[in-house]
Amino acid sequence: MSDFALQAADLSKNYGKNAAIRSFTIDIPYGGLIGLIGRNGSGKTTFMKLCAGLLDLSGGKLEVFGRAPMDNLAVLSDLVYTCHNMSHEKQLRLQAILGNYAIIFKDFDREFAEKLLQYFDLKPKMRYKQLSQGMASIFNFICALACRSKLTMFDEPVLGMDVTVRKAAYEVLLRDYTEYPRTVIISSHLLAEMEGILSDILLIDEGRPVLFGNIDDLRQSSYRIEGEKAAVDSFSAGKQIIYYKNGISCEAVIKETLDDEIRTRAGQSGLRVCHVRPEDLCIYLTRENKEGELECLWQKAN
Amino acid sequence: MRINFESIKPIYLQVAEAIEDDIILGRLKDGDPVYSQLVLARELNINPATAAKGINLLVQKGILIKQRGLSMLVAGGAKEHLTDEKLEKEFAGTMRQLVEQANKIGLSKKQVLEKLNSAFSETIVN
Repeated sequence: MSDFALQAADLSKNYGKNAAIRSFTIDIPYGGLIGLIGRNGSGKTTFMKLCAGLLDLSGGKLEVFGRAPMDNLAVLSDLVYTCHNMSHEKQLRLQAILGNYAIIFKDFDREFAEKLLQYFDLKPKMRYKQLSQGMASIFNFICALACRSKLTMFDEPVLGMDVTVRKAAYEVLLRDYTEYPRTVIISSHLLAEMEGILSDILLIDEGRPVLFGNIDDLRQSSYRIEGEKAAVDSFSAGKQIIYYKNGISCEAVIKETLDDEIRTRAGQSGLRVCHVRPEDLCIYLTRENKEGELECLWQKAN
Repeated sequence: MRINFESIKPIYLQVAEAIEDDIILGRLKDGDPVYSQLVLARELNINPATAAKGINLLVQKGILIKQRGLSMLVAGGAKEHLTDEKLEKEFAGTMRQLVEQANKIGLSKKQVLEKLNSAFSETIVN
């Protein structure tokens, strides 16, 4: 078997004239809890659906466990994809849907799924259509987790969940992952909430991978300096600046690994050095500076 | 034990320091088995790989020793070693803060030394 969970080479997927995924090349080794991050419409769902064999690719190559996923039962039996609003038959009771999962997924742990239903206060006799958005999210999360598939993909699993339930879901996910290590890909807009449990981050933008790596390395890949404009400017000269703002005080985010020497030099220049949260870093890497444009929104045309 | 995700300190370093603190405070003694990566992952809600990185750092430093099987043990003399190291590091940090503060409010070196002198004479050394 391949050591890689996922390998994509020059992968592309077009919807009509629009390219949702383009020149997408990546190797994802087996094992890990990977956060899939990207802005709306960046191609997260399309990428996961391609991996799950739910969409056919337009070009390039995609392999899951060394094989193309589309129409390949050997691969599909080892993976599960879920999103917050899976289109289950609305009349079905939750227990019946669990029954369906048990038939389709060979490693599905029904007992575990039923315990999770109870843990999250869902009744097996409820019908799927009776569930609120948050409850449906929990239910779909439970189903996919209990599959224990070698590749488990959660597409925005926490949508609609309240904060207490989200925290519980992250804990359950992490715990189950430590008991049954596998490759988990989880897309979310709430990176800050779950950065602790992740091992890696895959950031995509405009259908392409921007960054893929260990989250600890990412946390150390940049730092922010704050202080007088002149000091910030002279300190950051010649360095790679990924964010810059000059307001009441001046700040710059520099892409460079912080060490004691840099920290000391910044201190001597009267600059404050702080941590850049992975969430902010992802914003800086995928957004052009639109600050000037914001003002235009309130200007009246004469 | 708690992890601060806002800190500029990497998470694995925070894990390592938390274990060091437990050794310094005597919660973990020479030869005691140390929390496994899975226990740390659950306790701190962090990825097991991150927890392992913290543990491995202490193995490299000679604070923990790997033994056959799974658990790690506190190395002999770890407490003394850490106490010395902490003292040196933290004291240097406090000194630096002192100088920074003095600079901020415009105290000269001479004034700082005078203040330090009087602080010494006011404090009863035990």
